[in-house]
Amino acid sequence: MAWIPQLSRREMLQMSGLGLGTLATTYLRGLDLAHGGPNHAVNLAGMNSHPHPAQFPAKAKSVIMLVQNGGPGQMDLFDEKPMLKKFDGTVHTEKVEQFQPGSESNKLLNSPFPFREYGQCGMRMANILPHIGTVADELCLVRSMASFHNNHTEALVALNTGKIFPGRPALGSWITYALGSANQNLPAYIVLRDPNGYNTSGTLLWQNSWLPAMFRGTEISTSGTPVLNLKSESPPPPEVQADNLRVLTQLNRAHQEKFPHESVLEARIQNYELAARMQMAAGELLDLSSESAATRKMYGLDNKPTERYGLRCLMARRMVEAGVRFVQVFPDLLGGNTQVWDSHANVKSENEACFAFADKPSAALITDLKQRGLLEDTIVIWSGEFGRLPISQNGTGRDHNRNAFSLLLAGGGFKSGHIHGATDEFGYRAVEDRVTVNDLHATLLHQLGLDHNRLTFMHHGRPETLTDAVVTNAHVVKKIIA
Amino acid sequence: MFFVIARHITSAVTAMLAATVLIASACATAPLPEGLVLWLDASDVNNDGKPDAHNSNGQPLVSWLDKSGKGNHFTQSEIAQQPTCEAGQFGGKPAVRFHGNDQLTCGKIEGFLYRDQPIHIVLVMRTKSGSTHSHPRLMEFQPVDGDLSKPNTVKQRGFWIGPQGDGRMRIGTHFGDEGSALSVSWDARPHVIEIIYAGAQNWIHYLDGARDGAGLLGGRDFHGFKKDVRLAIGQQFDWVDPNSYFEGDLAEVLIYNRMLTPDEQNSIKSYLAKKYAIDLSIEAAPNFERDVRPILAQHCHECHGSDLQESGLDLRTVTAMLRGGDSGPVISRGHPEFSDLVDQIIEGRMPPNGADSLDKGQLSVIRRWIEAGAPADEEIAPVDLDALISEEDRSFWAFQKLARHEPPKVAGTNRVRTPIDAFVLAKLEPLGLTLAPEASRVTLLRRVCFDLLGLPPSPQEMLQFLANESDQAYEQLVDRLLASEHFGERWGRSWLDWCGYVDVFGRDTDFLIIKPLRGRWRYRDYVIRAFNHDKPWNRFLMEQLAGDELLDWRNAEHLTPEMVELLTATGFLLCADDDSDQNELNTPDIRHYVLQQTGEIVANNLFALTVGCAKCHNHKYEPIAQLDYYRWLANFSPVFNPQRWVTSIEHGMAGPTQQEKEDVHRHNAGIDPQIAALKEQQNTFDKEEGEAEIAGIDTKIAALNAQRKEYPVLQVAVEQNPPSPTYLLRRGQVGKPGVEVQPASLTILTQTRAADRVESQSKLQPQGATSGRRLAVAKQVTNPDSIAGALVARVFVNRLWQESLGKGIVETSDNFGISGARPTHPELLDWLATEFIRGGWKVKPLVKTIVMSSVYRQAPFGQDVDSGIQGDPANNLLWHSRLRQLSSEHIRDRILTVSGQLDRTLGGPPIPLLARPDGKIVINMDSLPTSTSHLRRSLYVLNRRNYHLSMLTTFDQPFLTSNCTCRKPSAVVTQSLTMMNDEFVLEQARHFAQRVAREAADASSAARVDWAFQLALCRTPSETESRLCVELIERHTVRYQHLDMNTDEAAEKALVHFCHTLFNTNEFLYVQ
Repeated sequence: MAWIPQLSRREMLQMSGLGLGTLATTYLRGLDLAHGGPNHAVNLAGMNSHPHPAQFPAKAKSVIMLVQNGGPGQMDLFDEKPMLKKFDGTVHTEKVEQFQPGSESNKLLNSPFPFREYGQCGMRMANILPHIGTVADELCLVRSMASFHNNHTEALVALNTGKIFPGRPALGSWITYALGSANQNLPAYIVLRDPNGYNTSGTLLWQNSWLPAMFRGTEISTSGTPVLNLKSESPPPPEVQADNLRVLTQLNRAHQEKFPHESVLEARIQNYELAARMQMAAGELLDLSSESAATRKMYGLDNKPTERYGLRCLMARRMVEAGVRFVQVFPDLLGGNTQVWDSHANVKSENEACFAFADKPSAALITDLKQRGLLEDTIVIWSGEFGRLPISQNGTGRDHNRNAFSLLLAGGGFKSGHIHGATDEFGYRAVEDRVTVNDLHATLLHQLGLDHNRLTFMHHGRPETLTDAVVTNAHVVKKIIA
Repeated sequence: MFFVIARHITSAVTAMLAATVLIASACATAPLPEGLVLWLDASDVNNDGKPDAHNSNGQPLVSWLDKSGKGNHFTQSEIAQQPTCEAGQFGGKPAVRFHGNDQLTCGKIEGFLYRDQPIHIVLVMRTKSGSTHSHPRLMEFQPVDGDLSKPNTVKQRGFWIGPQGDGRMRIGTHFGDEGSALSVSWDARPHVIEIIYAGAQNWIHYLDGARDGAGLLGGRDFHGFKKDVRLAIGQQFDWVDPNSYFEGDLAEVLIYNRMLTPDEQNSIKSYLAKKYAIDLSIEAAPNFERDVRPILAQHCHECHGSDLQESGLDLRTVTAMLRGGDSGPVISRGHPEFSDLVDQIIEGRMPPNGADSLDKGQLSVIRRWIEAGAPADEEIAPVDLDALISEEDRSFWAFQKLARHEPPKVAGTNRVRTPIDAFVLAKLEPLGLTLAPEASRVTLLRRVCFDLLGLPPSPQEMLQFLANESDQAYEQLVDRLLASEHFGERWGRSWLDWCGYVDVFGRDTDFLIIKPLRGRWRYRDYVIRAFNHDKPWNRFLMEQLAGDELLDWRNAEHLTPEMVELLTATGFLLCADDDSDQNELNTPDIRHYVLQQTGEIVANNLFALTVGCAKCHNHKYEPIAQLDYYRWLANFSPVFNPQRWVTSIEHGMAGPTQQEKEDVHRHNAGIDPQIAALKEQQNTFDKEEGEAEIAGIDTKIAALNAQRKEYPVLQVAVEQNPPSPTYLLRRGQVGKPGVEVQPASLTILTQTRAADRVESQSKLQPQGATSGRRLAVAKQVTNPDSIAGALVARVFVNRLWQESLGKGIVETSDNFGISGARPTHPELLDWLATEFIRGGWKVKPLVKTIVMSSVYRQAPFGQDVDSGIQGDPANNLLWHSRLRQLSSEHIRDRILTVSGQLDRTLGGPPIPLLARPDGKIVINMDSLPTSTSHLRRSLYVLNRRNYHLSMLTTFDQPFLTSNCTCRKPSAVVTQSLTMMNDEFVLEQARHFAQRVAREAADASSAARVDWAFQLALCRTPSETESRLCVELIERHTVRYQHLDMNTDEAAEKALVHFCHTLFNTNEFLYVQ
């Protein structure tokens, strides 16, 4: 086959990407009409995954969300409360909102972990996260987060979509819808979960809902073949495949004309094109052999407790490096537990078990991004869906608390070595500079160069937004922006 | 022999009086309640009914005869281990003295303990003064052939019970930890000891008549006796440790195979007190009004009384306490340790903030009162759960009886073929909308073939249908499809989703380990048959819920085919993930989990209600009380009995009919003599010299053995034992049993006003040894006049609608509750349900009604799209047909149909899977039942919970951790990758191309393209499409010719690419 000129990658892309630029369905026209007017995000978002310009200069390009589902306890880890130590075991004077039984005695429980200072900034956090401690100077610790619901599913859905009821698009879907992807060879929105199973609420957390199906999160496996069927066993010559794809797209376009309102058909057309490009790029991206021994060690790949989570964190970096817009990393399933941070029984042992896998890789990700100069335009979020109560449950555990939780932000133009907001003296309720989940979303969009009020999508006759600020009163938290 | 007068005193109130009377009369005759299985009396060791006055001190005891009538006599033949008789030990009564190393044993206790049966043991005993050895074991229960490898004693305070993992239980006397320096003998005074194992891990201990301790045996240490039990007294079985014996005297031993009531207990205590002159605590129970209520008034009524009922709890009356608050009832009659009221006080949670707490004496009054059965002057009405349900809840649409609505009058009468059309038009017309025009005949043919059979029509079927110009052509087509055996496959698959069917057992959390459950597939085939034969759906439900209760199969010599059918149907209930076959997972929490999952899945399938939330507390959104949840579970607890557990693999039973038995015997009779002859031949060889020959014969024997047949295995959900009590679990915790509950349906589904209640017309009665609980459920849910029956019918017809129209009338087909979606067409839903019932609960006629409607037969888009989008953007009201993605199975089946490779065999064992190291799950080609099994319809491929055939996973085959009532299709890039590169797709593309080459009108590319379109997409290509594809083939042919292929080979390859491309089209994945 030597005489057939090999197609360059660029030519291949041109062939396989046929039609993308000229896409103009009635669907999109509908969008334009609905959003007409100079201040609206006309043409901002589109039915393809090509990179779109932000609405204003962006601080960050991509997001890595390290979901710590189950609800890590703020007062045990990030939000030191001397009053808890002082009144440990005594009945709390405030009757706190309890969710599940077991906390009726309303007795305060101190953190089982001593706090210490980390970094130049002297950020005080518990002593069981020494690795995360090493990146304290990169962190923006928000101690005044508030969620809306005390149940995992609702709170997780809220963290990911802004509202507690399933059925709205995920944060990652909104962002990829708005900005597309800088990498046309990989899905714009990638989900990395424990290959052993789904965490609580599973696929609900990366749903596109009424946004076009192409903006749904794509799961990529970190064990076995990263993406099954990435390549065929006996691949045809590239020009054959490109030709097939071209004809396929033409056939699909003809079919699509009959169903102008079915976004899913467009998603499929683009998926074929994406699939073809992934073949060329993904294998390379997912092949870790180019990572140095030091890097592997830093992520804990050489160590049983950290190897699975470490691998996902490392993959997240590689993906962001390759231009993937939004990567979501889920925690390990320990012994089949789908919400490992849910420490109802024993705050000490349950948190220790979590940090055994989460501490080192989380810190490694931030360090690694920093080293590579990626941290400044990558937002890293380390967050659970809610916090925990200052009182004990079942003796040594804690129940859910929607009124306060802490989260970590790094990179992406957020202040570093900075602590924002405060809870009351027992850590029960965010009282100072309270940040709701919707505020967080608004701020994240802002850092990506997007106005949360102007990133809209028409649905059932209403211009929907991620934050629905009319209802939620979401606003950008300027105080955490550098 | 003794003459026994059994006393039956059941009323808790009269119990106190009776006890008082007994003490007063001080009768010295033993009152012997029912259930006595062992009675040893040192005054009459030879059981001749006369006191053994002549026993001299120190006389060795060879046997101690049982006076219970069960014949459980104890013996010791070794002289060195015989205890002695000693006169005048207990109030002048004789005793049997154990000197250390002495032991009496009973080889097998008759009428005795089985599984988790409660036991009540009463002992009159005294330890030797100064006995200091460390393992003072008085009794050991042991399975007759138990595994003794893992001794693991649980220590309890004072007198201890040592449960053992493998069904043993030991009883001993010591203080402190066994084996420690603190373990010293007890005081040398006579005592009356009662040890009660109350079932479900609960133990209670009485010392000299007073309750001395109660609690739960640790974790998984004791689940009851698995097999026959033997009993040793004085020392443990087979134990040579000289420290493991009891030193002291025993005067009397009574063992009951149940837990005695307080009054029975008191009657025995008074008999023993009198006989042995031991001071026993026998007291009357406190009185609620006099003793208990004032305490509660002082400490609790402020928040749980007339003004406030915090957490919905009122502590003013016993009835209100039994009803309880949001977290369930707070007292369990007879069980202080099951009562939250006591727990909350002990744990210092209540009264809150440590204020005004109860003193020990007050707590003791409450405990003793509950122990005595919580007697009260008030007439204690059964708990009225209905009171928890508001009028508003009652009037919620889903909890109404069915109403027959007449089809509304509409303007577009020309489109009304069925009442369905009138109902749908009535919603559209006010918006200025109407139905889309009728779809083209080709579109309709494809649609109805997929909906009814899950398979595409063949080109021949297409031609035949298009050629039939009669008005009845469509109806004839529908009738033909309904009669096809593939109908059952397609609709059966949906039913299997809804009930959470999988072929494996356990949670299936390991990618590599596949655990098929033997014979499980018979239930799948039963479902397919039921749909194919259009078994009336009420009967179908009845069989699945309670098939085993409809015939007395237990007493049948052979199972009849009907029995096999009914037993197979109960596989419906085996859908929960159950790992209890692994010993370490055969724990109370797993057992309860399986029971709970079963109850939740069945409720979700039948009622579309989310009952699971009520496991720990009253449901926060739906009118379902926590008590309701456990009452519902009690219907299934005789099958999934946490106290008498049957593990996940023990549900299998050999289910042969006479015919099958004979067939197996006849078959094996031809093989067994050959095996016997070979074995005989083997014996003629010397073991060493003839090693090779022996091995050779072994191989032959193994081959013959492989040919032997076994009885077919049925996986059944049947009651194995009489039901145990079912307890509410406080806060949903296994270790916190609360009140005992009786089986019932959900209160909201029960018409509580007697006048409104409509009893089931069914006269069916449970047959054989079974409780009939599930039959009662089945009768209720198939009673069309009841609320439950109405809901069940609505839920089911809604799912039929969902499968035919792409979305349910109630979109949340898994949630008809208050938190679910509302029906878009409530009158239509009721009309469908009533029509279904009127038609004798037949599925096929209802499906036919749906697919014959104009609504179903609409084109994908209407003429006036803009006003449609204006009025009903989501097309909820059906102004055009919906584009629907084929389910994972239908995509794979379509590929196989188009390639001409589909093996249409019906039923049989599942096609095995192989989990490949690269993460792909494929069909295991090494163990195929037949050479074409891998080409069978997808529903026959082994159904795992979490790891399906990769091709199916990619196309959203649901993870069946519970059940799935609605497939949720996605469109992700991995699907495209699969269609592009999966080896199965590629291979089928090659077959497809060969078929096209073989069958096309001529060898021209145009003819091939034409035929390929007809096969794959059931239509002819447009001119543009044809040109595009012909050119593609020709370009490829040229390309391959340039790669030194001959023309034929190149054309062949080119055709494969084209055929593969057709598989990849969007059109291939959707039905419009």
